[in-house]
Amino acid sequence: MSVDKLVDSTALDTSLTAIADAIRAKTGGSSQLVFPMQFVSEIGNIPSGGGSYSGTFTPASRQFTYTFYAPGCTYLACGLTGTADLTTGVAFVYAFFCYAGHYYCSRSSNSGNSAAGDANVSSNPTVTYANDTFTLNWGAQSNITKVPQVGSEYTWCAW
Amino acid sequence: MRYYKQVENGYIASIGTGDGGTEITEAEYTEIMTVIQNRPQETQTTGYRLKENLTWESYEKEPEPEPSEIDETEAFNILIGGAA
Repeated sequence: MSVDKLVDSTALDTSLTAIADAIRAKTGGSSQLVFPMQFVSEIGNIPSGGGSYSGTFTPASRQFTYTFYAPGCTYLACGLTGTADLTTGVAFVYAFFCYAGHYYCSRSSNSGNSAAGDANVSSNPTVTYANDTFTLNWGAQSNITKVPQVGSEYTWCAW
Repeated sequence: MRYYKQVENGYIASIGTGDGGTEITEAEYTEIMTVIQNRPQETQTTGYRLKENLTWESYEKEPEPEPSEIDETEAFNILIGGAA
């Protein structure tokens, strides 16, 4: 052990308090933190990632699973970037919002642009969040109505 | 900008920008997008999926129900005879 620095204890206390306040602001805690172990453990408990993520995706095939990489996020929203192609005669989703176990969407009918909303669809797709990724899985069905439109670009964001 | 494709069981499920999937070049992204934009016309009975080699494979679709004008909760309440 070497003792080679003089320390302004008031300034040190002020600095440590500022760090502790920043930690408490993140964690929502209010208790006093003992330096250094509780500082370390509290910071370690703050989830990594977080914030928000965004991107675009264009379905190439109508079935399958779509995944969205969004570390530390809880919610995912996605909507058509441009104009919907209503000439295909196939129902599709304009926009959807989901989180683990829940999927809400707004979609067209087979015959045209009359839209019907689906509130909290409990299946097709199943929505899970694991390994920093949202996974929307439509299972083995080859033809379902709650799928984004093939060939149309969607913009998504997660937070 | 980062470009990616998402491949599942030998088929391209989607392409996109941002994180996730398998990173591809902008040129490959553009090539796949062009193929997607020139996809065969899907019908009520025939669907198409894009293989990794950028060719289309057709498959027979099951009959597609018209979307309901009522939501699942309301439908469930009707089925069980509950409140509308």
